[in-house]
Amino acid sequence: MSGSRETATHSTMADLPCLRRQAAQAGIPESVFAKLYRQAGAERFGLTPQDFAGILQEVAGKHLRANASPSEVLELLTNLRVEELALARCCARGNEAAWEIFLNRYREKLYGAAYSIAREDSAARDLADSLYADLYGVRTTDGRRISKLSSYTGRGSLEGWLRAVLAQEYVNRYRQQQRLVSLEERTEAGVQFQAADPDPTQALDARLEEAADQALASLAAEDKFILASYYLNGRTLAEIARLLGVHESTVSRKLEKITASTRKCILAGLIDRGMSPKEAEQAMEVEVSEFSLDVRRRLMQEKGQQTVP
Amino acid sequence: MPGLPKIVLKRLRAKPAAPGSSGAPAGPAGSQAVKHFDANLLAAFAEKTLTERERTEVLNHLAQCADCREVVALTVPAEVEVAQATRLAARRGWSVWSALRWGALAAALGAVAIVVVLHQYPSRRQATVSKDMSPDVAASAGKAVPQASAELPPAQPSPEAAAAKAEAESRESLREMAKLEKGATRSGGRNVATQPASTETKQQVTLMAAARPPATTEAENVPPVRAERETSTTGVALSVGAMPAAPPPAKPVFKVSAAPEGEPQAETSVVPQAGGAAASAKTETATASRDLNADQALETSRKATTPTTSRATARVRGGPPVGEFAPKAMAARSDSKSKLGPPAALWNISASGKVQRSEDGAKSWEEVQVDDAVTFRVITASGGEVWAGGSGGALYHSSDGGVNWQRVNLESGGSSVTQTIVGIQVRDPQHLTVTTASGEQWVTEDGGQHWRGEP
Repeated sequence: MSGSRETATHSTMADLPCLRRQAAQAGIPESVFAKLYRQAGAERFGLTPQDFAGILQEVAGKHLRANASPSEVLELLTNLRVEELALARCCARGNEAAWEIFLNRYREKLYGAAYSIAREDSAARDLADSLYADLYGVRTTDGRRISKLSSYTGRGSLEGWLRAVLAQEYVNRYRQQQRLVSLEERTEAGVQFQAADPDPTQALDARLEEAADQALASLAAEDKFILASYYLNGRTLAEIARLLGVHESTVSRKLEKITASTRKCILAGLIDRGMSPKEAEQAMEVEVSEFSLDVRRRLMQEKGQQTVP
Repeated sequence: MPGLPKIVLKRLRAKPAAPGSSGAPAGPAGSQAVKHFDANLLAAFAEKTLTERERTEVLNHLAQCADCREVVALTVPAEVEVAQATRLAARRGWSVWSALRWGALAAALGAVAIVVVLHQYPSRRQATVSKDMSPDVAASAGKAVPQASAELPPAQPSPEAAAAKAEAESRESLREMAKLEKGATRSGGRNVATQPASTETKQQVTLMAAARPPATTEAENVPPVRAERETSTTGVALSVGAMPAAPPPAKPVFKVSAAPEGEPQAETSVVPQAGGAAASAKTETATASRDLNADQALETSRKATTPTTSRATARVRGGPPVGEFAPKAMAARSDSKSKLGPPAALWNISASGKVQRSEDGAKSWEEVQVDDAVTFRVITASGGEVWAGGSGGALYHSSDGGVNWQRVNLESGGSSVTQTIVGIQVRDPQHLTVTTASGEQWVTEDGGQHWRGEP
């Protein structure tokens, strides 16, 4: 066995010119690659070092900028869940041994996660079954099975990735159901429709919009996330704390601080734009619901569209 | 949450889009298509494994995208909540158990000191033991309850005023203290812990009980170390059990809390009081409601403290003169005794989780048949009203002093309590709060007919 391991190591160095070159260029030692390959246990699934190198290369290309530094590449690759990555990719390739391990480990967790998301037995089962089919790869393209597992990159745990995929599918289904609801039902349900563009004379004071935009722009990403989660999604402080990995009291204090600083920033912005302090206070409290605001555009313009490489 | 301008909420609101798709269809005319993060990054975000830069980018997107916020919220497993709650409970429990350990150590040291002094100076038990007790108690208190000290704002008030009042009532207090000390001793011995430490404490208390009255009186002073902590940390708990305005219970009230594993339960009996009426009320409170487990103690300590109690406990820590301390305690005891009426049955949970009752002042105990399938952890009694809680969410109530028992269903909204009940706090016959091993609290306002879970 040690001989084969040595052979594999030798093969690692000899059969991975691309990754080796990239690794050398990025400053990743060959020993690191060998260590990752061993950790992945890819040999048991028949994943060659070359295949493994290709997977690492794909992951690095997906999550890093083109001009990523060697340390960033090294940090990314050494923090990957390589064992789960190898397992997922081998499952995607149809390796039966890998599937057996996957089913033993994750089948129950998959259905458990589906139930915790859907909160209802039949919906959960349906959700899990549909994802299971996608994971197995019942769809084929040009004779090749397409498995969702091929998109797993090992940044997080495989279980966490499965939960995220289930959650995405669940939210997608929910949104689709919303769109299928008839207009009449929406009217009966009292759903509010966006009003037509208002008369310019009734438009919100542009200074207020500018000051609000300025205040939002000055907030940190986490602060905006807290505000959005709390006020728009109706999340509790405990839920937000869970998402951020902090204590509930921390979120509470942050929320108070954000609220106070936002008010202060808007007031200052309005005063800078010529309002008196009293006018600024009144302007902040104006009921904006009767005005039509392109909220999405405002918020998105602030940071622009982003995608993670 | 006051004060967030409405305009900001409007700005924050974003139109939801289909998550998990790259190059999603465009939204309203003129708006750009939103690209969402894939499951890898959302999962990594939920698991806190992203780099700082990535995390900022994801947060920026999440601030705009309601659907992705929903996905992330669903991605974090429920086990994280449980784990966090467990960690929080453990941290809370750890600090409480640490305080209990120090308190038990202090109580044990004080008990040993009492016994030694009593044996050496039989003719001067009260005064002498008090004298010896105070420094020991103070020293122990100083060592045992650093947290409690920190929690009490009036850490070092002068006990002179309280001592003066205590001296004026010394004779009657001595007699009352002797009687009540039996109860305190019993309560100290009534350790529901199933650990050896509890046995040791019970043995120590037994030694105290075997000593002459002044010894037990002084034994009563031992708990001040614990009482001090309990009082300081359980101000409301101690006071809510016996509301000053309410008519005094006809019988002494003893409540025993479930002992944490490995932790002795040196129950205290009296809390030195600084003022007469307030003192008696507080003493009555202290004797009436020493029922809290560690978690309840911490929670109630955050709710309220009483300056009087604080001064009294500070006095204990400061090592007040014997003459000031003992008479004060005795005065409080007597006052409370006069309100308590004739002694009642005492209750205990044995090491094997059985309910026990004593009709002879803890000289002997008899097992009370309640439910063989339940391992009881906590019992509280007020006159004939007895509540016992234990494994599997079992809660039993007797209104005739333990002759007949009725199981109380702890359920609300279709969900029942299945965890071990470790704390029962009785404010009055209608208002109870039950605490489970996981820290959940259930409250009733109608004597147990209906319950609601408290967050």
